[in-house]
Amino acid sequence: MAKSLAGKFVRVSVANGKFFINPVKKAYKEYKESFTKATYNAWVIQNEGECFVPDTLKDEPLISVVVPAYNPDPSHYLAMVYSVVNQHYENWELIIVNASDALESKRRITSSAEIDTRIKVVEPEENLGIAGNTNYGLEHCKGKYIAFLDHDDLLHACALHSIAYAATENDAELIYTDEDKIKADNSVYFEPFLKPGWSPDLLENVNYINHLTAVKASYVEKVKGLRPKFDGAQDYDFLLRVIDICKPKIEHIARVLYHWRAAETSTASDFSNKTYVLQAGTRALEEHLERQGINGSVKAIKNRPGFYETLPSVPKRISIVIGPVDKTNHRLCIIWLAELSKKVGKHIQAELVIGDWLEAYKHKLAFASIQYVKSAKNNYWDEASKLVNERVVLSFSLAALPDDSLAISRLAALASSSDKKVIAPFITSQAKTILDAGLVESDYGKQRLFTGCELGDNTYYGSTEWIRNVAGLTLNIFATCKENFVALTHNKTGQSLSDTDLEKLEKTDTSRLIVNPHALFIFNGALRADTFSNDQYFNPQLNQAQSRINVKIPYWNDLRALSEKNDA
Amino acid sequence: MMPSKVAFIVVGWNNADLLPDCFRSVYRQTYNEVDIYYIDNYSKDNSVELVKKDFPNVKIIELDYNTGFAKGNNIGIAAALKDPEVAYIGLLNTDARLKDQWTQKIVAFASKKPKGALYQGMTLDYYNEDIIDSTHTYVSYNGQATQGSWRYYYQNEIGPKKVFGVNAAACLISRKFIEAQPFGQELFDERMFMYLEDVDLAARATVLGWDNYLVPEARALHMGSATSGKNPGFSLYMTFRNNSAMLFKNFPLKMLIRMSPAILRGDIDTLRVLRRMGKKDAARRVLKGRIVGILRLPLFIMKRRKVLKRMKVPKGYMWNLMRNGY
Repeated sequence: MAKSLAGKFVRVSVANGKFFINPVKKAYKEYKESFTKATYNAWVIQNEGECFVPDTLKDEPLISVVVPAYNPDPSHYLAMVYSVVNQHYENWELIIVNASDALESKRRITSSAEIDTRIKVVEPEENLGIAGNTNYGLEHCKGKYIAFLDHDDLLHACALHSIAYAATENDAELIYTDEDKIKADNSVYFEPFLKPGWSPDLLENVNYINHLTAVKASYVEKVKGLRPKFDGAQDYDFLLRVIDICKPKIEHIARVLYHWRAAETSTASDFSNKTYVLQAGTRALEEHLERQGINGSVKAIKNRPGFYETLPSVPKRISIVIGPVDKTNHRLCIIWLAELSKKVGKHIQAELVIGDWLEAYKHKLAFASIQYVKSAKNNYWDEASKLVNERVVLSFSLAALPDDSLAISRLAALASSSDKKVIAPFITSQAKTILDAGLVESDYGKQRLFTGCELGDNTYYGSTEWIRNVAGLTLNIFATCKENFVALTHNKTGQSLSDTDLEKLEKTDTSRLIVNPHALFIFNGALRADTFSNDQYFNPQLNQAQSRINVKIPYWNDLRALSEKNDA
Repeated sequence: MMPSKVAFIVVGWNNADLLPDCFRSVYRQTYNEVDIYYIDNYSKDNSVELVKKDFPNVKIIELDYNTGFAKGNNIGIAAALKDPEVAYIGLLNTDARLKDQWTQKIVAFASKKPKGALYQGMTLDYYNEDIIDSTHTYVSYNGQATQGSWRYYYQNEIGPKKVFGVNAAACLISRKFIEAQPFGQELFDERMFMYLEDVDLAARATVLGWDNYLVPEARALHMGSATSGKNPGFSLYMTFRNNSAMLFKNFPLKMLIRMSPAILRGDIDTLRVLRRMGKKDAARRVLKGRIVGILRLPLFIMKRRKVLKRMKVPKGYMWNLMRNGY
C-alpha cells in the first residue's frame, strides 16, 4: 500500500515539474546568466584598445577592407569608419561601396572619404544587391588580403594587426576570428561566440566562420568574387568556393575582434527567415557537395534559419558491434538489443557482432545475421574486427537507444561518405543533459565537451546542437568504415576502447573525428561494471576553473576543436 | 609643394625659469620647418630680455596687459597664419616639453587626415615618465570635462585613436580647421579667459564634424598646473564658470536636457566632498562659479546658434564618444 502511494506521489510530482519546477529552474538560469553577461561587457570595455600581437612584423601587407553600404544608420556608420581608422595596423585601405538611394546618407558616405586619405568611396551606377555591390568594391581593391566588413559593425582596434600577423608569420591564407554582438546604442557587448578551430564538417552545417574573414586577394580573384545569384547566403557560398577550389591554409584567431551590431536593420537580431535565403544556402551547399564528389542531400533545418543538414546517401547494410558485456548484465542487454533492432530502420539491414554468450538467446532478436566473438579471450575487439563483413561499422560500448528512427541512418551515412571519418553521436541522459559529446583540447588537457550542458543550450562556444569536429572521442558509441575499425582495434588488448586508440589511425591517415547532435542517443546503462568507475577525462583543475567562470574568465578561446590545421 | 611649416605658440606670464627648456625642446626636434612665436602676457620678470638674448629666432609679441590664455593664443595664431607656409599650429604650454620626434610623428600622421583638426601625443608626467598626464580630454555624461587616462601607468603604445578632444598643453591644430571657424579667426573663446577653452574648442571641432586624434608614438612631458596651480580657488571658480558656457555653446538642447540630472548630481557631489574635506571656501567658489556661469549664458547665444547650425555629427555618435572619450 505504502509503496504504491509513493509511486503515485513520484508520478504526480514529475507532472508538476512541468508547471511549477521548470519555470523556477529557468528563472534561476537566467539570473545566473545575467552575471556572465555583466562580466563579459566589463571585460570587453577594459580590453578595448589592447594589442595582442608583437609590434614588429616580418612584412606589412596591404589589407583592403570592403564595406557595401546601403542607407546605414549615421551613428552606426561613423562608428564603423572610425573603428577602422583607429586600427593599430597602419597599412590598410577602406573601400566603401556607396549604394545608398537616400540622398542624405549618400552625401554622408561621400563626405566620410575626407576622414582619412586611405578611405575610398566608390559608387556603382545603381544598387546591385549585396553581392554585386561587394564585387564592385573588390574591383577597386589593391590589397594583398581582403577583409569583409558590414556597414554597421565594428572592428576591434587590433583586428587588422592580428590578421597581418597571422598572414605573415604563419602564412595563413584564409583567416577568421571570433565575434560578439553589440547593442544598437553602443552600450553593451554581449553573446560572445568563441569559435572552434578549422572544422570542415561544421562549415557544412552552418556558416560559423563568417565574421571577421580575411582572404588572400588572388583567391578572391580566382573564384571571381561573390555571386549575386546567392544573395542572402552569398558569403556562405563564397567561403565554400574559396575553400573547395583554392584549398587555402586556414587559420583561426582565437580572440573576439569583431563586434556584430544587433540592430533592427541588421541581420544579427533577426536572422532572415525568408525562403530565398534558405534556398540560396541550400543551393550553395549542394554545389559544394558536387565539387567534393559526394552524393547527398541538403536540407534547411526548420525554425533555425542559417542551419543546414547535409546528409550523404544512406548505406543499405551495416555491422553493429557490441562490446564485451558483464555476465550480470546479459538479461538487460538482450532487452536493450531487442529495442535497438526495432530502431535500426526499415531500409538498413544490420549484422550483429557480439560475444558468444548470446547464442542461447538469439531467437529473441530480429537481426539479419549474428556473428559470435569468443569472449573468453582478452583480445575481444581484435577478434570482433575480424568478423565484420559490412563496409560501415557501428560500435557500442554502452547501452543507449537512438532518440529517433533516423539517428542510426545518419551515423551510417556520414561514415560511408568518407573513409577518413569517425563519427560519434551525442549521448544524453533521459533529461537531455549531455553526457558525451566528444573530447576537446583545453589548457588543462583533453576535456569532455559541454559537460553539464543541456541539449539546445547556447554556450559561448556556440550552440550545443551543431555538428562538431573534435580533438578526441570517448569511443563509447561510434560509426566508421571497416578499415578504420580494423586499424583501431588492431592488437587491442583489454576490455574497453579509449581515446588513445585513435592515435593508431592518425599515423597512417588524417581521420576526422566528428560528433553529431542530430544523431541523438539516450543513455540506458553500462554494459560493464567498470565503465564509469574512473573517468579519465575528469579534470579537477578545469572543474574549478569552470566554477569560477562567473567571476573571472579570459574570453579568448581555450577550446581548440581540431588539432590538425588543414588537410589540403 | 604643400605647405608644411609648424608654428609653435607659447604664451608666457612670469615664467622666465621655464622658457629656455621649453624652446630648446622644440629646436631639438628632427623636424626643421619650425617657427616659435612667444606671446608675453605682460610679464613682470625678465622673460622678454632673456628670450631676446638667448633665442634670437623666436618671434616675440609683447602685450601690454594680461589677456589670459585664450586671447594670448588667438593673437599668436593670427600672427602665425599671416605666413602662408604655415600648415599647422602647435600649442605648447611653458611647463610642457616635447620629446624627440614629436613634431615629425604627429605631422606625418596629420598629413593623412584631410578632416583632422586637433592632434595630441601621449603626454606623460614630467617628474615620472611612467605615469600618463593625459591622452585626451572629453565631456562625460555629467557635463564635467575629464582628462583621459589621467594618472594611469604608461604600459605600451596604443595605436592612434580618434578622440573627443585633446589637452592643449602640447597639441597640434591644422590650419584648415582654424580657417573654417564659424566666428572668424577667433579660435579660443576670449570670453572664457582661462580654463576649459581647450575643451570648448574640442567639443566645437567634434560637433562641426572634424576629427581629433591621439597619436601615441609622439610623446611630450607636462608638469601639470605649474603655471597657475598656485591659486586653486581661482581655478575651481573659473572651471565651473566656463563649464556652463562650454556645455551651452556646443551641445544641442535635447542632449543638455538628458544630461541635466547627471550635471546636477555631479555638482552636488563636488560640493558635498569639498564641505566634508573642510574646504568651505572652495565649495563657495564652486557654487559662485556655477551661478555666475549660468548668468553669463546670454553672452554665448549667438555663438551657440552658429555652432549648432553647422552641426554635422549624429547625436548617437556624440553619446558614444562621451562614454570614455574615444
